[in-house]
Amino acid sequence: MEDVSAIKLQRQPRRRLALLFTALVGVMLILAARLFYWQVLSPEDVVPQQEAQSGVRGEILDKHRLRIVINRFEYDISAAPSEIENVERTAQQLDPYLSLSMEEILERIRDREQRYALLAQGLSAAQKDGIMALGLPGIHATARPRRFYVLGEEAGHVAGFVNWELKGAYGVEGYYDELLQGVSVSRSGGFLINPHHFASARDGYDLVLTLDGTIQHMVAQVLQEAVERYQADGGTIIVMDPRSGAIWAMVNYPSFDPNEFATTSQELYVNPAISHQYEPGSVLKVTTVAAALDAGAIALDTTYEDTACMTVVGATICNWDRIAHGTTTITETLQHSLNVGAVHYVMALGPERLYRYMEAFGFGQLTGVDLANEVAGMVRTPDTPDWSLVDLATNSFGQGIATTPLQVVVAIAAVANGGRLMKPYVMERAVAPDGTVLQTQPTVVRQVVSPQVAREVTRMLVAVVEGEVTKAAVPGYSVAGKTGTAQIPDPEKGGYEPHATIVSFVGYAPSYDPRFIVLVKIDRPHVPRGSEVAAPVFKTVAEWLLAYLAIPPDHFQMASR
Amino acid sequence: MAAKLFLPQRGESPWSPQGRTRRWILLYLALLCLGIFLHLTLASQIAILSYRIWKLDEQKQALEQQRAEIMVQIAAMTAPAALEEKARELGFVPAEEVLYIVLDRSEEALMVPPESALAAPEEGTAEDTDGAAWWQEIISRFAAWIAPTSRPVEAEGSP
Repeated sequence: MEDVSAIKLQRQPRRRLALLFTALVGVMLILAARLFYWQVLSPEDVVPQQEAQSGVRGEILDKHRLRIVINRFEYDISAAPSEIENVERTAQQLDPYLSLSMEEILERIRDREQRYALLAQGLSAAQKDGIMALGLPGIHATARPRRFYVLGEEAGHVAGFVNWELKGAYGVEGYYDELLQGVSVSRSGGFLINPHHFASARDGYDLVLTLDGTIQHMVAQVLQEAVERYQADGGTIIVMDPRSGAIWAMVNYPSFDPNEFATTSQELYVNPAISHQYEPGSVLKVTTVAAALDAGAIALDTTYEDTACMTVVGATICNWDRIAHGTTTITETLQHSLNVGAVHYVMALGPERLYRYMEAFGFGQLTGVDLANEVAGMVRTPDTPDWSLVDLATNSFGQGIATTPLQVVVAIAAVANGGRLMKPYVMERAVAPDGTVLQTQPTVVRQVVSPQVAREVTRMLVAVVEGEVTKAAVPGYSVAGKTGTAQIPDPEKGGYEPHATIVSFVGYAPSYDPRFIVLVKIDRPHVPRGSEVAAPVFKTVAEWLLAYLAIPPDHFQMASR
Repeated sequence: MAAKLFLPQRGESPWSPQGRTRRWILLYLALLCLGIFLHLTLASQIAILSYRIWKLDEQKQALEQQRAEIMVQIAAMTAPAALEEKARELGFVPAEEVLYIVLDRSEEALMVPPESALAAPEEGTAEDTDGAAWWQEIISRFAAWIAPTSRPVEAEGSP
């Protein structure tokens, strides 16, 4: 008996250990099997082999937080031929939804050795839902992020667009691409547990622009109507706050719809307001007079004897009307837009000081606006080969110099703004997903002329509108402005095109406390005069803006002061 | 076979030198098993969680796509051009003339009424006021009865 119990006692630990060992092995086998299932068998819908996670591109809003550029999705429909059960029936059911013919669909999905066949690209959500509702095996939809440009053609040049790789090009999309696109991460699936599984993408900043969607829409309508009415080639209107440099509207016609960028001619991508150069013409008499007054080359009571034409180193320069105006004041020079007067003032000023002021007004250099593809324009100075006094004379009334429309607005805005040149901008603030805000502060680039000179020139420009360019006048408001009619250089034949002109008007209101400045530029209208074409367009825009911004007429404002 | 190698043999003392060695081997084996067990458990949990995250990601993406679609529709409907068209359909037209109203900014017009006049009546005040008015009416009638004021009487058929 004792032997039997001793043997049992000896056997007990063996059995227990064997049991424990077996249990452990069993548990490990179960766990290994589970792990094998999740990570090795790896059904396609469990662990994607390679997955990239992109940060969501930031949206773009106007100054009133109206969304003008937002994200949307397009869908690609593809087939995995090996998964398709009935090729003919699948093709028949897909046929009404696709632009492909029945034969083309069959051709693409019949080859069962092919892993993937693209059937449609760029479908809307509704189209995709229609196809996926068929529940066809082997038919898959892939979402592709795209952008939706709410204002379409009206703000095409300002917005820019993103290409198929979601890379920003032109406009705000191009300039602020890095800020908008955020940070992407890529994930790899399979055996290894990748730390990137736990890193998340970061969304891009939302941009709030200084642009006002309503003003942009209204101005776009007015411009299109004007271009069509005057049978012009195109035009540009810029509306800016002269006190801050904030751009409220920037419209060109013709424009392009960024939603359809792929089918648009690339020439239209370029924003003429910042990338096309032109000779501004008489608008530049404003800066010439301001410079001459500020430098003390002329005084407020300076007069000259206008003889219709004058000769400068052998070249004859005449007034546009070829009329001798006799003794003429500075105000009259601007009112009648007399080239001879401008030449008189610039001769008194001298080349060194004129070009210093031109540089100070921002001509021949980038304005620094936060839009992609800005050009600097061109100013010929005494350092330029072939420069002569004729250049000095023609520059005084805006010929022989290349500027962008935005440069002209910024320069005249300096006069409106007490002589302070502001840096133009379109982005008011950038808001990060975590709430961090990057705010743009209005920047004074420099004081170009004294506030007194600016005030006097404004007074003269009010006289221009009230006395001569009455088609720009808005009843009840004091409006300051100047027309410009410039000839167009002919690069092939040299000289200027005989009949074509670019007409413009730049003005601001109310003149004593300007709330906005507007440039209207019309290219090659059939009526070649700024006062006949651009001034009425300015009036339409200004009248509407004064009501939109609820700016009461002058006598109300005076009474309330 | 493995059990034969590591377990004490029949008649062998567990405290003999061979037995001690086997015990150590068993201990190492147990620890190794524990380590593998923990690793496998953790890896398995991570794999399951990864799958759940992926599924939630998928749901999130679907919701984001729906949201984007709705945002596009809202944006298209609230675009200035669409609003203008809608307004015109409803009969609105651009204003031909904007009129500004001149508010009287004189001191009299801007004078604020006394606070007592603006103060809201307290609870029961309305009733008290009614009572006071009633008494006032009684007193005035009584006074009129005591001392009637002379009224010109037009006699009918006066000359």
